[in-house]
Amino acid sequence: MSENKTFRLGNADIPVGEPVRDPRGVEDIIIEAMETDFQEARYKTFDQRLFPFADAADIAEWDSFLIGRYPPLYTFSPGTCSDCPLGPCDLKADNGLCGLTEVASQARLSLRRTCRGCLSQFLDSRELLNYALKVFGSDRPVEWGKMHDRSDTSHIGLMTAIWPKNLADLARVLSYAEEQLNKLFTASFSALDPTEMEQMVLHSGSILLVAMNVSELVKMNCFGFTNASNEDIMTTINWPPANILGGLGHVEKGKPVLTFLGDSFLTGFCAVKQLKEENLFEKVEVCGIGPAGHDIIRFYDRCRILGPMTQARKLARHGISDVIVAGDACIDLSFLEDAKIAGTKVIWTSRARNIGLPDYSDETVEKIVADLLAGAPGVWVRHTEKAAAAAVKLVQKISRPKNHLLSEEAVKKEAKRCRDDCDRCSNVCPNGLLIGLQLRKVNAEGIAALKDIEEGCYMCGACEKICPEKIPLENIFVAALDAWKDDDKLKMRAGRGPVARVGTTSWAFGSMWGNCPGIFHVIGCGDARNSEELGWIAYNLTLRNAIIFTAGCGAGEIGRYFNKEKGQYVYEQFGTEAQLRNLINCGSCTACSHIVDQALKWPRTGAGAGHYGNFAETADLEYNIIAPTLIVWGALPDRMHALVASWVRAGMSAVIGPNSGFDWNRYLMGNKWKWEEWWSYISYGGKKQYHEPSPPAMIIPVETKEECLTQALAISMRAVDVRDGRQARLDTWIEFSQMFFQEFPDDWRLFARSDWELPIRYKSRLLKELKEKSGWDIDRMQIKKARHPDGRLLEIGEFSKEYSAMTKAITKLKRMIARGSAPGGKEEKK
Amino acid sequence: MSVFTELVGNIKKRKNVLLLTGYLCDEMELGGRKLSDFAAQIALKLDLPVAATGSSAVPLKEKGVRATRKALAEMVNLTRFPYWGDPITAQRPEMMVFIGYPARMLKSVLPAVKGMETVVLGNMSMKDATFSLPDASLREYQKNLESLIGSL
Repeated sequence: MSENKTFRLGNADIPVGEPVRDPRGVEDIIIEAMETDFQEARYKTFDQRLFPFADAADIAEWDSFLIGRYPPLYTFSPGTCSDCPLGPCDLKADNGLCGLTEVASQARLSLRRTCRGCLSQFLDSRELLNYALKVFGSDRPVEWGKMHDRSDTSHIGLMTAIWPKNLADLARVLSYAEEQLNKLFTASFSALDPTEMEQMVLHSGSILLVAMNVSELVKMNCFGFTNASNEDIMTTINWPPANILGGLGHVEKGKPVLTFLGDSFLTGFCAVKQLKEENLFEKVEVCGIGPAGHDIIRFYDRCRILGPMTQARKLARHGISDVIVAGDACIDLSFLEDAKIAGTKVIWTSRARNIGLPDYSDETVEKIVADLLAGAPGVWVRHTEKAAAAAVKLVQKISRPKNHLLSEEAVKKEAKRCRDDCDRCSNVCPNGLLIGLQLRKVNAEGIAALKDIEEGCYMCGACEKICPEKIPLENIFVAALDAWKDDDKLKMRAGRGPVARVGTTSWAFGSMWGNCPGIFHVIGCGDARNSEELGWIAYNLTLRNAIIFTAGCGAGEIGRYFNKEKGQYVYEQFGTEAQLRNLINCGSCTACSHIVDQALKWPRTGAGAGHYGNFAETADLEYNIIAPTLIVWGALPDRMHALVASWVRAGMSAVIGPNSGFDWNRYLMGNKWKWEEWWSYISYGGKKQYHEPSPPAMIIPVETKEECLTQALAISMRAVDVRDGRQARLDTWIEFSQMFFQEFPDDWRLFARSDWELPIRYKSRLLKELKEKSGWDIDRMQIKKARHPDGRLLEIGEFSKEYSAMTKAITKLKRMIARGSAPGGKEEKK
Repeated sequence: MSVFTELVGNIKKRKNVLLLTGYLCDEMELGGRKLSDFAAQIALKLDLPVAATGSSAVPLKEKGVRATRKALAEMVNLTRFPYWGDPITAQRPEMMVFIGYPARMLKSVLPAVKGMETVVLGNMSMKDATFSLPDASLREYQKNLESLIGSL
């Protein structure tokens, strides 16, 4: 009976029903969470509530702040709705028959897109968990690592209030996430309120991270994946080592190549186990494309990362792989025809769908191998161990001609057919590549003329489809890739899994009070125009003392950046601790959850906010004080929409780009020039505190890598920034702006609060600007009076009081105003 | 009267026109000339302030253009608010002129521009723009730009 149960917090016994709406069925979860993670003083001071197994509506108070301050900017409208049999309704002319507005239809599409993005991850998480339950049993213990304890934040804790102890707990957690996704997808066809749907978009991001948490826990606890949280702190400075090789140029010639592609590493796990047991690992090159590869390197450092999922088709058509074992993935770039052209054999292992291959799930390994060797292009095998055994056997026996690539002469011949009165290919290219222009240079410059556009091409096929001359552009791009395959190299560290508590503490202090421009999370799907851009971005930030976290396919792309002066790849140049000037790879796509979770530890560690079932308070603290900035470079699959939603909901702003960022059709941006819209409540007293527009946007697209760096700094400001942190951010922001655009950012003055935090190297020029352009009263190197945006000239002390939240406790949530401190405030809890 | 003369007349009639230059200004060459050369000529002849997005600011400034680095999405975003506030123009522009963006990028952002006319100086016609240059190969596009500049 709920009413009789209590939990002990400090010296008080509190009824279990006090912090939750309905404790029935979750009493034990609440008691465990409250007694192990919440603090009496904070609980009594603020109206803390728990939302175990939260619905979207349970976090609406926080989401509505985000959506209100950063109203979605939709850049696409279908104009009509056909979601029900009564349609289509013309929404440009009037509301739909059901009352649906045009904006609501845009929100529906936005929600549908993030739900779609979740689906493939949920499939993979479920398959992985079911396999683990089958093999290891539901009692199999799980933990985040020895250096983690109950107070370490995770999305499982935030959304369900559970501290998972075994696979059975994970089954309960994943069922919750699946139920939530079901609700959201349903709403994306029936809801009418655009704000509510945008809140659901954010919710989809959170539940995506829950599913990713589940996958990561299974991977680490059942399959021996690397986990820094299990390592001694003294050994993790350079752990795991930067010894993972990738790119076509690092694949050893003469060996058979077995490649794993897609979300699932399971077949790869079994195959590697077999190769080790049979002492064959020296004889076979194991490679990975997409998440499978980034997972395999966490238990097998000889695996070569060939590229991100977005390059799957091109890599398959190239034909470096003798056998491809593949399953579902974040993006459906159907590679089967490419593999056929290259003569590569395909073993499709998805349990969700087929891709037109005969079902060999019930055949013997010998039969599978024999039929593939006899000429079958591929088979479907829904049995993990069998697929692995067949792949290992097949790859040792296969012999195939590798003569499908166009020669340079053939490319020149085809290129001659390109007309200079067309250029339709460029206009349909999602990356805006000037394909025709470069193709016409091939006869003069050779195939080298195609280098830049080959890198930016992920073989969507749009150019070849529209070409009136039927030039085989895809084959030309693959031939171009082959021309410089020996230079296609990367070197990286395997993912290290979650960040231990001590790491979080060090980054929190380093980033706030150190000479650090901030924490940046750098991820991407590899569809950027230039393959080294993501590495360039990470390098330039790390070099300036930023702390960089990465995961997913982007982590591999970062590894392509080679510093010629130092003779080192970027992972070799920097350490891998959660410290200033370090670059930390957490793992594959599912390890993105570690990045967000470690960022959200700060509200618990620094402000004492228990995180179980307590999303809104956690995100509020994160947003106001120390939110890292997300950079997404190459933002193609729908999964990235949901991932970015998870970051944004957690209070972190995102820069997305380059070209694929403009295909998102929805951004979250405020009007930074309207000062009246930028304010917070003071936590003690509830007064409205105006301050600078920080951050001015939560999702903003940019066109180039230079713009990306500059914009990332611009949105890294937080209202509560302490002096040192603000100075370092301003310094790096202005440095980038000067370096790339030869000017100070035209909005830097919005973020000026005191002369203390103006960067020393620009200080006199900045003060001059404040004086001449904003009318501030400057006496030599000191600000005497500052101009409030309402026009008043105030003594600097008065200005700070009226228009700054520096070091003040602020909140966006009314219930996070200290009890009794606001006029008419509630009594303190007894 | 040619379409170019008519377009130029329309631009000149507007009191407050903002030119937006995209990353292709710095990356695209037409007949051996950077697209930024064409954009600079347009800006200088019409004396337009320029919101230089992507990495297009520097080559324009070097040619004496009044260019300020801006983010494309920020400029589009501002058009939906009653309060403009951006110091690049004293008042809300009556017209935005775009050059140096891939067609696909503009297709995405143009529908979001509110309360002002839009002109696209690209090589693909845009149904969401008030006026755009016609579909053209890059060779024809170069000619179109030269004709336009000749009409200024």
